[in-house]
Amino acid sequence: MKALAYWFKSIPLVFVLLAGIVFATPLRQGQDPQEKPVLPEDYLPKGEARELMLQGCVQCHDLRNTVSQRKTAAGWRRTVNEMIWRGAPLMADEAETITKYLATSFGRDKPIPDELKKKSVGNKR
Amino acid sequence: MRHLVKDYLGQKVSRRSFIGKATAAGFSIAAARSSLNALDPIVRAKTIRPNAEVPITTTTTFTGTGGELLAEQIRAAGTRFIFICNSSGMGPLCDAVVDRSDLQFIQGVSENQAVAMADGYAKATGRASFACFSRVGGPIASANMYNAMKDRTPVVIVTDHMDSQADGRDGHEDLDDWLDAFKQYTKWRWLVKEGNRIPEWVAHAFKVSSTAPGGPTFVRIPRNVLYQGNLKAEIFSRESISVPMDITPNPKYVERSAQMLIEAKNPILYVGPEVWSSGGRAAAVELAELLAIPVTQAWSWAADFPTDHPLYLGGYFPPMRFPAAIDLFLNLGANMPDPGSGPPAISREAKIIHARLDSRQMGADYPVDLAIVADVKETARALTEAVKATVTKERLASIKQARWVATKSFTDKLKQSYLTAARDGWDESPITWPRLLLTLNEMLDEDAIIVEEVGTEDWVLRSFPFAEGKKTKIGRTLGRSLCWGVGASIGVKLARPDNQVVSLQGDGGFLFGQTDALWAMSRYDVPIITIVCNNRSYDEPRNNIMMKDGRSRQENKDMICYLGSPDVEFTHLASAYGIRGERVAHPGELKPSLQRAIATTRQGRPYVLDVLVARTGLAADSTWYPRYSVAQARARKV
Repeated sequence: MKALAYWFKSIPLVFVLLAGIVFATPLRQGQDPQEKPVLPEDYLPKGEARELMLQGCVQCHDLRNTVSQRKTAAGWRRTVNEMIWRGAPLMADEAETITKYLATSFGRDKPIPDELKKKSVGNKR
Repeated sequence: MRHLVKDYLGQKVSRRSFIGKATAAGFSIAAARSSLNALDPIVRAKTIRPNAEVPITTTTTFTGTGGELLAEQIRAAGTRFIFICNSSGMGPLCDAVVDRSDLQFIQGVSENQAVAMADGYAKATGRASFACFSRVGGPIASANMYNAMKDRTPVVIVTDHMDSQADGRDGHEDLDDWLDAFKQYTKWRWLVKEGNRIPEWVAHAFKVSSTAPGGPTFVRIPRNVLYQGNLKAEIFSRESISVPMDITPNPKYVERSAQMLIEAKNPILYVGPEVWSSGGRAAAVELAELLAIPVTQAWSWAADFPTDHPLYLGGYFPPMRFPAAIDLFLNLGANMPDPGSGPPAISREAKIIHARLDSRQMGADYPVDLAIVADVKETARALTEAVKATVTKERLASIKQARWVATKSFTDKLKQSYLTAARDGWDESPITWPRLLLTLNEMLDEDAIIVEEVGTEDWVLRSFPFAEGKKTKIGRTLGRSLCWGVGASIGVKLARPDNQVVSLQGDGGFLFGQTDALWAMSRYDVPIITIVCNNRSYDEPRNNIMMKDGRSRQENKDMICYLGSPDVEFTHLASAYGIRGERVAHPGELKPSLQRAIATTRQGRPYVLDVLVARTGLAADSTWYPRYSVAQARARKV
C-alpha cells in the first residue's frame, strides 16, 4: 500500500491535468499551447534509477513500453539483463538499481493508467 | 627536395635520413613525414615490381570459342573457383572447363546461393570472386547482389542471354531490358554483343568490381556468342586490370585533422567497413591508442576494431553515455550514423572529420568540417605520424593519460556488466543467447571465423574477441537481406580452409531458402559447423512491431513472427543432404554436442546444430498466430 501511495504521489501533476490525452499528440483546438504533452518518462517516479534509465535505455527505444508493463521483480531483472545482452550501456550496479526501481514502481500490483492501456483504433467510418 | 625524393625512391636514403635531410633543408618534421607518406605507394609499387624496367605481361592472345575466351579471361583475372548454377547457357563454359583443371566449379542449387558463396569468398580473400548462372537466375540472385552492393563486395557475375539474333522481342526467357533491372544492385553492368570482345568486357567487370570501393558487376553474354568458335581476342592479365587504391591523404588535410584531434577534449573514433577492407585495423588501433580515443563500431560486415580492446565501446548508440559531450567525431571508413527519423545522431556542436574512399555520402547528410577522400589505412597512418610530429611526447602523454584511464574503466565495467547479466538464466531451457555465444567462444578454436547472420549483432560482438590472432567476424551484411549466411560460410571456408568456420544463423534466416546451401556443403565436403539459433521466432521484427504500440501490441497478437508451428526439425533438413546434426534443447547438452560437431568437421564433414534458444523482448512468450486451414475451408475433401 505504501508503494502504491508512492506511485500515485510521484505521478507528475501534468499527467493528472492531461489524463486521457494520447502521448505526443498535436495540440487540440482550444488547448493551451503552454501545456506540454505527456511523455512516457513523465510516468517514471523520481529517483536515481530514473536518471540512469534516461541515460542508458533511450538510445534504442522510448519508455512507453516500460511504463505500460507490469512485471515481477524477476521479470524486470530479466528484462534489464536482456537489454544489457543487447548492448545497453548499463553497469552491473546500475542494472541492480534499475531492477529494484522497476519492481517497486511497475510491479504486478500497480494499476496501469487507462491511457497507457489502449490507443484509439481509428475512425471507423 | 627533388633530388632527395629521387634518392629516396632509388633507395639511396632511408626514411630516417630523408626526414633528417628534409628538416635540415628547412621543412617541418610534419611536412617531411607527409611527403614520405605520399611516396609510400610508389615505394610499394617498386617493391611489388622490383625490376620495373622489365614490363609486366599485360595481354596474351587466345583463339577459341566464346566459352573458352570467358574461361581464359577469368583465369587470367585470378579466378580459381567458379560459383555456378545449372544452366544450359553456361554450356560453352562447361566445355571450356573440361580441359582446364585449374578452374574448379563449385555448384549451387540456386542462383542466390551461388552469389552468397561468391560473396563470402570475396570477403574472406579481399579479392574479386566469380559467379555465373542462367539468364533467368538474376531475379532470384538479386537479394545477394543487393547485399554485395551494400557491402561493396567485389563479385563478378556472368549469365548467358537470349541469342543476339532474337533478343528484344519479349521472347523466351527475355525481357526488354535485363540490365536496368539490376542497376541498383550492381556497380556496373554490360551486355556483350561481339564474341571477340568477351575478355575485354569481363576484364572490365573485374576491374570495376575490384577497384575500391568495390561492388558486384554483371555481364550478360548471348548464348550464340558463347558458342561461336574461332574467336581471336586479347586476354588481360590480372596486373593489367588492377588499380591500386591505397591513395594517401592530402598532407594539408592530415595536418589540420591532427590539430583537431590534439585539441579535442572528447573525441570519438567511429570505424566502419573500409577499415577492414583496406587492411587498416592495426593502423586504426595505433591512432586510437596514440591519443586514447574511445572507439565505436559502425554497422559493418567486419569487426573493424578489436572488440577486446580497452578503448572499444561497442556500437554507436546516441546519446552516448561515454564519452560525455563528444566534441570531435572522426569517421574512418563508414557511412555516417543513420538517425532514422530522429534528431541527428551527432551533436551539431561536435566537429566531424569523415575519411574514406567512398565519397558519395560525405557531407550529404551531416555537415562535415573536414572530408578526406583517401584510403583509410593510409589516412590512419598519416594521422598518427602527423600527431606524433606535431606535439611532444610529454604533451601526448598528458592528453592520453586521463582519457585512457577513464575509457578503460568504462569498458572494463561494461564487459563485467555483460558477464554478470549473462548469468541470468544461465541454466535455463531454452538456452539463453549469452550462454550459447559464450560457450561457443570457449569451445571454438581461438582463430575461428564466425560467419553470422543473426538479428542483434551486439551480443555477438560482445561475446567473442574479434582481434588479431583471435576470432574473425564476417557478416551480417549491411543489406540485411536474409538468405546470405550459410552460402557465404561455404565461400569463406573455400578461402580459408585451414581455419575453423562456424555459420551462425537464426531459424528465421535459415528458413529464407538457405537449406539450398547444404547441398553444396555436402557435395564438396565443406567442414563447417552450422548453428541454427532456433527461437522459433523472428525476434527482431516482433520487438520492432510491438514497440510501436499498435493493435498487435494492445491485443498481444504476434501476427507474423512466430515460427514454432510447424516446429521445424533443422537436423532433418540436414539429414536430407547427408549432413549429420543434432538438436540441443538444454544448456548441459551444449558442450558435448559442440564436441561432436568439432570432431565431425575435423574429419572433413559439415555438421548442423539446431540449438533451441530463448525468445527475448516483447510478446516473447506468445505462441499465437493467425490460424487458417485450407483443409477446413474445403467444401469437398479433395
